[in-house]
Amino acid sequence: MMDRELKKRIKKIFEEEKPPQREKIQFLNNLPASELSMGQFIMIQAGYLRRWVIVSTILSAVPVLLVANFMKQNILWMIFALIPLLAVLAVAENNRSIQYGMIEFEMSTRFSLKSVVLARMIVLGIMDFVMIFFFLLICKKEKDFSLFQTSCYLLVPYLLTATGSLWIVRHFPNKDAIYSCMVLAVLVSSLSSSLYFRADFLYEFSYIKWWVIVLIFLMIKAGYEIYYTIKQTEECIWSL
Amino acid sequence: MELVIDRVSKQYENHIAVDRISLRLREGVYGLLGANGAGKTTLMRVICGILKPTSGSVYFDGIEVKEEGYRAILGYLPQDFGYYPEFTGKDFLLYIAALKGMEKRVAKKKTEELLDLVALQTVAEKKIKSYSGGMKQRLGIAQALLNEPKLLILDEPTTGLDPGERVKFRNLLAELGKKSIILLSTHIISDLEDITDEVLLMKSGEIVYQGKWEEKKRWVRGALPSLFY
Repeated sequence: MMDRELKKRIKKIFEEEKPPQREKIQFLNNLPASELSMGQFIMIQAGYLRRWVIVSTILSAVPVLLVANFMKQNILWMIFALIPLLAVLAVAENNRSIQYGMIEFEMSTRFSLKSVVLARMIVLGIMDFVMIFFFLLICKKEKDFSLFQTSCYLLVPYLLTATGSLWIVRHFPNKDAIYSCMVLAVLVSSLSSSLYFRADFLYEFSYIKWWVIVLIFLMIKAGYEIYYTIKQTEECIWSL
Repeated sequence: MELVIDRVSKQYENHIAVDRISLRLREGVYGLLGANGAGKTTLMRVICGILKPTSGSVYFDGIEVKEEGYRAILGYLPQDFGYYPEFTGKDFLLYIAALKGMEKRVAKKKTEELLDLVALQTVAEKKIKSYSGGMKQRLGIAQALLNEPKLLILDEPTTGLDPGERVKFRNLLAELGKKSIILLSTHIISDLEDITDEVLLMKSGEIVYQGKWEEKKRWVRGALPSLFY
């Protein structure tokens, strides 16, 4: 039997050194407080979003408005086709730290990469929410769907693209991942607009429960992807 | 002021990049020397909190590497870095200043000062993509100094600098080293000779020598070839 005292001493040698508390408190007292609040930081990040992403998001409403007002044609298929593109624009913008090799800078600063990604997600999320709400109003005017029904039809392709794109970016963290996201967006876009023509029975009220099931599944999956995307920013696992 | 690196290891599947390194660094300039693949960059990334160590811990005056307080006193220049293509030199510094939590007015003032310090004020409004390698490197150095860091980690900072710029850079580091801890990696021995207080030689993930540069200058020079093979 090993001597208890000896065991204790060996354990002490291999224990990780604990930070000295007095020094830590003194250090924290001397540390200048951040001059920016999280709210101000989010606003600043909003200012750094690429102009073309904001313009493209807003411009997506233009063809819808033109067709609706001047050509008097059914525009639902067009809205269903545009929605996935909004999602892929948001994911592309969120992924640009990897794309342009800014990760090491953004990870080593006071507001770390996690804050940057979170701030971008908030701003882009709000922007897309406003656009989806706008499309929702147009759809409501165009077709006799309920608000809930229309929300399902718009959110399913949006969340499918967003979730799929986040999954791609998380599992293939490199500069080219965004091209795969674009392919996914085009596929979802074609699928949702062609479904409207080829399988229009799916948009009947009797099928709404299936839409809700898919929507709930995608919401859970999106939450999971967002959580792990943010978690991934804690350590650099990207090929630098 | 003390940086403590306590039995830090970083392992990737079958490869140990950093092998149980322990160091205690106080104010001064420390040169990290070693061949490519010795583990310098991995160690620096662990010190900056960019990589989590497989085991061991890093803290500065009692603050652990993962805490916000640690990042608040850190300045880091990565070996290879990119930039957002739409950025001018000034935009880049203002962006990093925002990430460092600096208020806009303070950030602007500090940006002007640093652009002047690294002689980029005349091209401050030009896109970074039009900069030469040396100019980009000077911009990288400037961003590391924005928050007047107490801990400055510079990975191959002299890459791309011309001889005149190297001399200026060395003088700047010597000045900063009086009140901060500076760790810089290089494989160019002349970059370290006049300014480093201590040299750390790294081979296969381990520190094989740590000591005063002046005392062991000959020894270090003699040991260098074996480090590279």
